[in-house]
Formats: sequence, C-alpha cells, structure tokens
Amino acid sequence: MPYIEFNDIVKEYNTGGLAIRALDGASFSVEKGELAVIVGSSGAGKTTALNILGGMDSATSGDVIVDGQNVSRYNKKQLVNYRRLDIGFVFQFYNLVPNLTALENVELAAQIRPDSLDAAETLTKVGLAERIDNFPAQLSGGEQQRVSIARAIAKNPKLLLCDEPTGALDYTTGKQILQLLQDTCRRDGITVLIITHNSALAPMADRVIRFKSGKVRDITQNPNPTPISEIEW
Amino acid sequence: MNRAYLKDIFRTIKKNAKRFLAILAITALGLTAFTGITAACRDLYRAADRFYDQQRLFDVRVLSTLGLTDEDVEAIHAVTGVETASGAYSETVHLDVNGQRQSAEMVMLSEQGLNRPWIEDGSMPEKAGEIAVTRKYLEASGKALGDTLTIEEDLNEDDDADEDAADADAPEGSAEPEPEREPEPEPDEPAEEPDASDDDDDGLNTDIDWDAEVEIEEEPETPTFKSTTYTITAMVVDPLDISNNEGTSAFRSTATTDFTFFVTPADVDTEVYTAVYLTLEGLSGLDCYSAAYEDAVNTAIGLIESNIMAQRQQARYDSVMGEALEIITDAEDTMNEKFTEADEQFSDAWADVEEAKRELADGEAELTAEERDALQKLADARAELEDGKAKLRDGEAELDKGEAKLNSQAKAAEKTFAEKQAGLDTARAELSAGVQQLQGILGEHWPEAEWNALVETAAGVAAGLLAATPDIDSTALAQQVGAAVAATQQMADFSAALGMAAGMAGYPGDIAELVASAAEAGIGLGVLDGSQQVLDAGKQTFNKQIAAARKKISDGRAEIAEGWRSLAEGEAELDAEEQKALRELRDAWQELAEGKQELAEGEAELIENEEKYQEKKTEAEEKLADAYAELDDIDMAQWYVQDRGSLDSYSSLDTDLASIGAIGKAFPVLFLVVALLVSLTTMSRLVEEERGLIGTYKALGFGSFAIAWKYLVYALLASLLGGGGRATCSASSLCPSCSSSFSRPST
Ligand SMILES: Nc1ncnc2c1ncn2[C@@H]1O[C@H](COP(=O)(O)OP(=O)(O)OP(=O)(O)O)[C@@H](O)[C@H]1O
Ligand SMILES: [Mg+2]
Repeated sequence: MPYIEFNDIVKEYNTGGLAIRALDGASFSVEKGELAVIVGSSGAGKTTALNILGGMDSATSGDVIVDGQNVSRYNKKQLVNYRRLDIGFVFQFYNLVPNLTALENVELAAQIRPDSLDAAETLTKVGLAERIDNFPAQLSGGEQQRVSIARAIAKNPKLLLCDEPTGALDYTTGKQILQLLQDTCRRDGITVLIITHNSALAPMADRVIRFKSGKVRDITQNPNPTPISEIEW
Repeated sequence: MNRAYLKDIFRTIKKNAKRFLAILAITALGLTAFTGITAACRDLYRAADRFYDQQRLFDVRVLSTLGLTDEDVEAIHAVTGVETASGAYSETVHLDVNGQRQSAEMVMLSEQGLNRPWIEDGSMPEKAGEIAVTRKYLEASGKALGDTLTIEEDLNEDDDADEDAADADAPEGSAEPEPEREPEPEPDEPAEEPDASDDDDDGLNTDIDWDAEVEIEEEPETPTFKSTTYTITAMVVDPLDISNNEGTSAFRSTATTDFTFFVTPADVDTEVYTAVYLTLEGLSGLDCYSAAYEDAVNTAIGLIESNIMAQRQQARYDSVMGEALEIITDAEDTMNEKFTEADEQFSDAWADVEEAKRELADGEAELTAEERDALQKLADARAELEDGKAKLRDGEAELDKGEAKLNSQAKAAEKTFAEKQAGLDTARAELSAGVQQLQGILGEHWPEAEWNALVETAAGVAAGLLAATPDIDSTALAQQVGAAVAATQQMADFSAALGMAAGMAGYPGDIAELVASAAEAGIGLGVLDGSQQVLDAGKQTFNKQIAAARKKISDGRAEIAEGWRSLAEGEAELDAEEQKALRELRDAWQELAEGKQELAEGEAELIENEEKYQEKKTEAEEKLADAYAELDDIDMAQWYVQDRGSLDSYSSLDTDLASIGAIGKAFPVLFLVVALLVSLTTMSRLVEEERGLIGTYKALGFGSFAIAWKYLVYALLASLLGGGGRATCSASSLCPSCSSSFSRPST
C-alpha cells in the first residue's frame, strides 16, 4: 500500500456554465520518504492536483489516500486539521506574511500545532540564523523562499508540497533551494512533492510523474536519484 | 491564540490606522450628539419645574361637565393628601381691540394663591376693577399699565358656551342645561276666521281653532363680572399657558382665545366654579416631570375619583336635572292640555263629516228609487199610448177594408141593375111596339081603361111576386094568390072588353087571337112595369143600404180621427210630464252632487287642517323631545380629574423635550448606520487586499473563524474605542455648558 495514493481523480471547474476539466482521471502514488517531481505542460493540472492533495481543494470524484486516510472524505474541520498537521506548502512567490519577521513567520506555523520544531532552529537549519529578525521585504527572493521552506518544515509535516519553488529564482539560488528540499527529504524523511517546469530536474527524484491534459501520462521510478549538486541545466 | 497571529493583527491595525480612526471618529460623533441633547433636555425640565413651583401651579385640577360648587370644593379639600383646594372661575369675554372684536379668557385669581401669574411688570390686581393682562394684549392694543380696558357686557353666552364645550378640558360657564329656544312664529294664524263656507245644509265645520305652541321658559341671565371697565395694573405670564406668550421656550401653541386677563375674586359673581385647582402635600421637593411626582399625583387623583367623585357628580347632576326637568315638565303639561282640546275638536269635526256622509248616502239611495219609479211610470204611459195607436191603426185598416168591399158590391149591383134595366127596356120596346100595332088596329076602340087596369094589375102581381120571392111566407103567398086571382079577373075583363071593342070596330079577322095577344101584351107590360117597380125599389133599397154603410164608415173614420186627436193630446201631455220629471230628477242629482262636492271639500279642508295640526303637534313634540333629549344630553355630571399633563403648555413642553430627546436618540442611530457603512467598506477593502494572505493562512492550517477573527477584532476595537471613549469623557464635560438655557421663561 503506497503512502500517497491519487486515485482516478476528476476535478471540474464550473465557470459560467462552462465545465473545465482540470483533472480527468489522474492517478498516481508516492511512497513514504520519496521525493517526487511532477512535470507537465502549462495547464496540465499540476497545481490542481497538488491543491487537492494538500486539502486546499476537493476533488469532483476519486479518492485521495494519505497515510491510509481517505482525505477526499474529510469534512471541513478535518481538512483544517489535516492542513495544520500533515501538510507543508512552499509557493513559487513565497507567500510570507509581510507584517511578520522571518522568525515570526516561522513561529506563525510552528505555534499552530503541537510537536512543532523550534522556529529559530529551523531557520538556522535553512541557513538564515542571522536574518531571523528581518521582515520579508528586507530579504532576497532566495532567502524568502528559505523562510518559506523553514515555515513549512517547522510544522514537521508528513508531506511537503512545493509548487515551482524555484520559478522565481536564478540558477544558483534555485539549486540551493532544491538542495535544501532534497536534504529535507533525505534527512528528515519527509515525503516531498515538487512541481517544476524544468525536466532536467527529473534525475534528482525518486519518482517522476508526468501530467498531460489532466491525466497522468506516465510515471518513472528512479532507483538511484542523482544528488542535486551533480545536476546541471 | 497564536502570538505571531496577534502580532500580525496589531501590525495590520497600525498599518491601516487611518481607516481605523475613521470608524472610531464616526462612532464617537454619534455618541456626542446623544449625550449633548439628552443633557440639554434634562436641564430644560429642571428649569420648568422651578418655574412651576414658584408660581404654585396646581398639581391636580377637577373639571366637571356641570360645573362645581362650594360643597364640591369642600369635599375635595377633605380628601387625604390635598393641601389646598381653590374654586376657580374663568369665562370667555369679548372686547374691542383696535377696532376688532376679539375674545379673552377672563380668569378669577385664586384666593389661595394658586396658579399665580408671573409678573413681568407692575403689581397684581388687589381690588375690584383692577386687571392683569398679558404682554400680547398690551402689544396688540397699544395700551400701557394704568390704562383701562372695557369688556362687552355679555348676558347670553350661548355662542361661547358651545365653543367652550368643544374645549374638552375646560367645560366652563354656568352649567345650566340649555333647552331654551326662541319661540317660533305662530303657525298660520288660527285668527284667520273659521269662515262659514258651507252654509247650505249641515254646516260642516272643519276650521278648528287649535294651538300647538310649546314654550320652554328660561331663567334670566345675570352678568358674571360685576364691572365692564378695568384698570390695568400688571403685565403677566399665565402659568397655565406659558407657550401663549411671546418670548418663551415652547415650540407650539394651541390657544383658543386671543388673550388672557386676570381679575380679583371681588369682581366675579358666581355660584358655580369652572374648575377646582389643588395642590398636594409633600410634593414641593419632587421634580414635576419625574415618575415619583406623577405617582404621588396619580394617587391623589385615584383617591378623589374613588372616594368622592361619584357622589358629588350625582349631587350636582340631581340639582341641575331637577331644575331643568321642572321647566320642561311644565311646558309638557301645557302642551298636552292644548293637544287634548284640539284633538277633541278634530274628532267632533270628523263625526260631523261621517254624519253628513251617511245623510248623503241615504239621499242618494232615495233618489235612485224615486228615479226608477218615475221612469217606470213614464214607460208604462208610453206603452199605453202605443197600444191605443195600434188599435186605431187596426180600426182604420178594417174601415178601409169595409169601404173597399162596399165599393165593389155597389159596382156589381149597379152592373146587375143596368143589365136588368136593359132587358126590361128591350122587352118594353118590343111589347110597346106590339101594343101600338094593336092600338093602331083598334084605333078608337082600344080599351084604354081596361088596358091600363090590366097592366096595372099585372104589374102589381109581378111586383108582388118578385118582391115576395126572396122570402116566401104564407101571408105573402096568400096575398100573392089573391092578387093573381084578381089579375086573372082583370085579364078576363080586358079580353071581354077587347072582344067587344074588336066586334065594334068590325074587326074582321080572328078576333080571339087578337084579344089573346092583346091581353098577353097587356100582362107582359104589366109584368114589365111590375119588374121595373121591383127593380127600382130594389135599387132604391140598395142605394139606401150603401148610403147607410158609407155613413157608418165615415162615422168610423170620424171616430178614429177623434181617437188620434185624443192620443196626440195624451202624448203631448206625457212628454210634458216626462220632461218635468226628468228635470226634477236632474235637479235632485245635481243637488246631491253638490252636497258631495261640498262634503269632499270640507273633508279635504279638515284633513289639511288636521295635517297642519299634526305637523305642528309633531313639531311641538319634537321640541319637547329635543328638550328631553337635551336633558339626556346633560348626562351625568362628569368630573375630569386631571394632572398638569392636561395643560397644553405643560405637556407640550414635555412632548417637545421628548421630541428633542428622540432626536438625541435618532442621531446616534444615524451615525451608527454611517459608521456601519464606513466600517463595512473599510473592512471589505481590507479583506480584498489580503486575499493572498488569507490563502496563506488557510494553507498553514488556520480555520475560517480564526482567519475572520483578525478582521472582527479590527472593526470591534475601532467602534468600541470610539464609542466607549466618547461616552466616558462626555458625561462630565458637556452638561454644564447647556444648563443655563431655561433658567427663566422670559426676561
Ligand atoms: N479556479 C479555477 N477555475 C477554473 N479553471 C481553473 C481553476 N484553476 C485551474 N483551472 C484550470 O485547470 C487547468 C489546470 O490548471 P493548473 O493550475 O492545475 O495547471 P498547471 O499544470 O499547474 O499549469 P502551470 O504549469 O501553468 O502552472 C487549467 O486549464 C486552468 O485554466
Ligand atoms: Mg501551476
């Protein structure tokens, strides 16, 4: 039984009488502790899949099983709890709270659940020990993304869901971020799903899931993932 | 709650401070309006209370629909809690103000000093002939203190009484019932002479001298105010009507008269008060608009109403009602007498009419019978006449028939006679010729004498035979036989004579033959003569008979003519008689019709008269009923025990201040609505701006309420700070500033 199971998911958006099928029977599974990369052309349904998986959105039909629980059957309260305890999100544009410092941003996530990691420590872990009292506006994109990752992993989630985490970063910074994510996966045993447009990143993953027009076109497993530092693009 | 989250909330407020302050300010403003106006109202109430205390305004007043008496005042004074009871009198008077007739309320000043007018200038009237007036009057009339004013002497206050009655809270003036009415003009004068229009037969009198007038006497009015000219000693404000004086505080005025005057009791002559004013014990310390004051007043009102009101009302009602009832009952008695008299007259008249009707009917029946008899008699006579005529006509016809028969008989007889005559004549001629021949032959030997005797005898026998033929009786027959024997003798004589003559004459020939034929001829001639005789006699007899018959007929005709004449006479007589009878009948009918017409006219007149009478009677009864109804209208004396709320200016101050208070309450609502709109737009802008952030919070695992909390805290904090802060500081700072606005009514 896989850790994450995405089972024949259909997601339809009804916009002004026109039904758009963002997902059209997508199915995939990811094992615990794996780093999975999701690729696919723009509009293929990647973000939609990730949102459903993260409990931000619900599927029209199909089941989402995470750690043996059927998330797609959760009610509102259970979903809040699920997001609070099991999920860490990392967004393309970091989505930090501008009124809070780096540390406070991380604390915001850490204080929302029990058994969280220490905020300052987590920030140190992502290499921002000196910048913890800076507001997001005072940080670079990469630094902000680190804060964002720190905020996600401080909750000690089961899943880390990253939607194009390097999309707004340059090559080096992107690489550092990806390294951080790979480390997180390897070191903390957190299952990580990364959406990327960069197919070159495929070798770093244990599993590559390819989306095409709402369906999973193909899944490749990579028994020996390449460390990120060795990947060039 | 998440500490970092709280930090975010406060930093958000800090960043959006302007919006936060906007909400705060609008809430504070609403509260300012509320507290400011409320405090102003309270101060106005206090100032009014002070003024009323100072002028000793009544706490309770008693009004009655039938006025109040000294006994009432005493009874009220005896009620527990009543401090002072003062009988008051006021009345509307009229006076000339700069050429205009205007009304004024003339008020008697209380002997106990209640409702003391507030003196603006001068000093209160102290003796008869002095008067206090309002500023309004002085300004309208242009007079000054020390001048005099004159009111109209007003004996009949009816027009005002109505006006006052409409003014429900001041039923004043003399409380007598008013069934008085002007005596109306007489109905068509009975003095118009019951003329003798029906003077002929029964003298039916339908003109009845009735009188259905009712008069309900009234008592003479006396003026209530002793003098009409007064000296003005003061310019005052009426404490009962502070709003009817320029320069005071209230917003509205409902005054019914133009001015208010005050005179001393010395000028007022009345047994009936229009109101009793009271003050209650232990109320001077209370605020007059307070609930405690109202409770105390209501307790006193309750006591008056439950303890003495009913019995005092009844007493007053009884005395007023008794007076009024007596007047009306007198009037009713008089009226009933008049009615009885008139009714009797009418019923007499009707009896007369009935009598006349009966007589007329009898007369008619009689006349009808008479007419029938007369006509019958006439008809009989006429029938008799017709009978006579018919008989005459029958006789005439018979006569005609007889005459015709006679004529035809005569004609037939003449013809027979003529035939016989002709036969006779022929026979004679033949015989005569034969005889002549014989004579010729014999010549002078002709025995003339024998011949003539023979002829004569033969004629006699023949005549006798012929005549006897129709009826042969024995006597006649015997005579005839005798005659015939004589004739035979004659004949023999003649033949002998002849034979001798023939012998003498020498007649050769056969003498016998000659003698025979001559005898024969002689007998023949004699028979002829006899026949002629008989014929002539027959003719004569016949002619005689005819003549007799003709005579008879002409006699009959004469008789009939006589009959006709007498019939004509009878008819003429009958005609005359008939005409006379008919004329007499017509006259009788005419007379009867006239009688009826007269009766009908008389009846109509009577009906008309009676209708008129009934009308007047109904009118009179209505008038009485009205008077009684008016008695009913007097109803029970109704007391109105009122508090100061019955004063327009008192309650209007209350309602005006309440209106201002309501504005003070409405204002914050308005501001609240504005604040609501302001915070609504502010908050929705904020939420709109933070949509991304809300998504992030959601992704981090914040629940919907936790996220909404942030914005609720923002909004609530702003309004509570604004409202609460304002409320705490306004209470102390605003009140003194507006408390001086109603210290005295006018200066
Ligand atoms: N809220 C929405 N309402 C309507 N349609 C939507 C909504 N979200 C996504 N879609 C549609 O669903 C389809 C899949 O969208 P999705 O965001 O998953 O694509 P993606 O694979 O993430 O693309 P990209 O790589 O460009 O981010 C798209 O056609 C998109 O227009
Ligand atoms: Mg996407």
